Amino acid sequence: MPYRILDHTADVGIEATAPDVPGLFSEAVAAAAAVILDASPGPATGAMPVAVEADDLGALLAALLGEALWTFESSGRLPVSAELEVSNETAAGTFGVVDDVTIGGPAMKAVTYHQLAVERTPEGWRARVFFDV
Amino acid sequence: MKTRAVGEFEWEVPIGEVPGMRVPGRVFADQELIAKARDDRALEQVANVATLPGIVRASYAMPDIHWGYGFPVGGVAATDVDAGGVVSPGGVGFDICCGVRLLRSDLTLDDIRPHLNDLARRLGERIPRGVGTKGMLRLDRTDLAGVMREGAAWVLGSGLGWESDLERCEDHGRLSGADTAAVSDRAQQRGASQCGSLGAGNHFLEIQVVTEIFDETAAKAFELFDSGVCVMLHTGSRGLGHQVCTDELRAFDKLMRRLKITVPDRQLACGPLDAPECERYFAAMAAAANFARANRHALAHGVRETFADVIGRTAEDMGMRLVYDVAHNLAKIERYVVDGRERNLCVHRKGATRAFGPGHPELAERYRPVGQPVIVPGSMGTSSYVLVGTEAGRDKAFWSTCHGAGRAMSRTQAKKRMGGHQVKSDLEDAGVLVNATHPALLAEEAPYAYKDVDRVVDTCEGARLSQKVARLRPLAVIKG
Repeated sequence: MPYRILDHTADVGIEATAPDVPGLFSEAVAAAAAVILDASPGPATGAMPVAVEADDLGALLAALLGEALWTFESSGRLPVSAELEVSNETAAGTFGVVDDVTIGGPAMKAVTYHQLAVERTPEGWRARVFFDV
Repeated sequence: MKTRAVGEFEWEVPIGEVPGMRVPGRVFADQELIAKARDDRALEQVANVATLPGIVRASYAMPDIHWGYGFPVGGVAATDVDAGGVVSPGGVGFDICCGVRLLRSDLTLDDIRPHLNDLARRLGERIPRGVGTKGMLRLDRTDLAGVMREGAAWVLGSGLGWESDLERCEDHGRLSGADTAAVSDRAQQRGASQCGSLGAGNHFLEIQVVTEIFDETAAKAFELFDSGVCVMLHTGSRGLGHQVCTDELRAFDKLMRRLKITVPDRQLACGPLDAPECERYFAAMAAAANFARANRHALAHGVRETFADVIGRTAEDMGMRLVYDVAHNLAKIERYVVDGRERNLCVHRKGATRAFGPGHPELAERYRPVGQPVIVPGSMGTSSYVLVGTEAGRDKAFWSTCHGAGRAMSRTQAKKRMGGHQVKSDLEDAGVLVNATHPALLAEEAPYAYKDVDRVVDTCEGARLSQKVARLRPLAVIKG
């Protein structure tokens, strides 16, 4: 499973895995969408540009997910994947988005830095992010 | 995490449980609540907060404590402004100045019973709610700047609400020091459309009835009486506050690296109170807090209008006055004596309510003899409470008390136990009308997902943080 939802008393977390960082970030976007939908997201039906900057990979992922929430709030189009070029300090490319979304999960307010992690594993990469809901 | 009892309702997390603790943790709980606190990672978070530079006395936790992000929910921490103390945006949280407003009325349960269905339906239509919803007010950037600077007073100036509302509001509805230039364009964009909206999640509006009075003197001062109908609403600064915290968290993360400050959890990012970043944070936080006050003020106006339309009497005639408006996510500079010296402290309350005792000079004259009203929402179907601050509360935990029942169960666990439609039907069987935009989501906020609010407020009373004034039972719940 490339991502799973983590239990939390008040909020909700996700853990994603992938062989490389761009894939990891895309899985994290899919995981956030899965929380919002309370279901696995379907394939993207459109694309929207995205670009973020931060000092390290953890903050970069948090910024990317923050952009995903903003995209959803401002346009109603939900990012479900991402095609990105990622360096240590920038991620740029496109979100794969879906329209006509039915919210099935909790309202997601923001991306936290609580236990935020993007780390190398023997199999590739793993990320953990908690959201304020 | 080790805890030892230091009183009937007090537990200490000793220094050393987490490396770098500067003060002990102090948790207000009875036997059952401390056992619940041990179930998740809340106590570890109490210990983590105790590592913040400049923290004084203890890292406190109220009886409704549970695992949060960075700070525990129910956490209180005060840092010494003049001795290297810090402010931590995560210690306020994303929903800056989230809080509760309670309107009372002269109506009794018998008066309202014939109108209850209509009220629940009409309030549902009138009160904007749900994710990212557009609010009752349409604000251009100039209006929004006014809201951020003036809070509830700006909405009053636009013709909504009553003059008497302001004195019955924490900070008289306006936190000083707001600077709109400290609020990012995106935060302003998110706020401009959302003022006068409830939001989703645990935010709600309830019609309630007073079922018990515990303190006649305070109840009289708060104008509450047995069988009296009230309206409680719980919401905050919406997307504007979320974005301010998001922006500042990033800035403080960088600041900490620059100053080589280390904390056990990145969400505890903080900076010394004399740093320019902190000055900007306080200016932005105050702007978001004022937005939250304006938001609740506007919604209360919508409630009064709806009651007037449905019942056919004016809100003035029904005596729909504000009891109080409290924040439970905020940081403030307050003065306390610590180790024999009066100091300016930055008091963070994350899921905790300020509870000034009797005689406090900041309280409106009508409340000064008895103390500050504290509004404690229960969970759907359970009681809510009005409490009052105590003299002892100052030394106990910087005049702080609980903010609600406190979650006991994750959303996933809650949903596994019962579906939202079943929760709605059970509530209606118990005599609580439910108007929800997403009934399926009701399961996440089901009463059983929360701790026993009666036990929480009794523990606050046992620990002398606050005293019970009145208990209220829900009649109708409006949720996003």
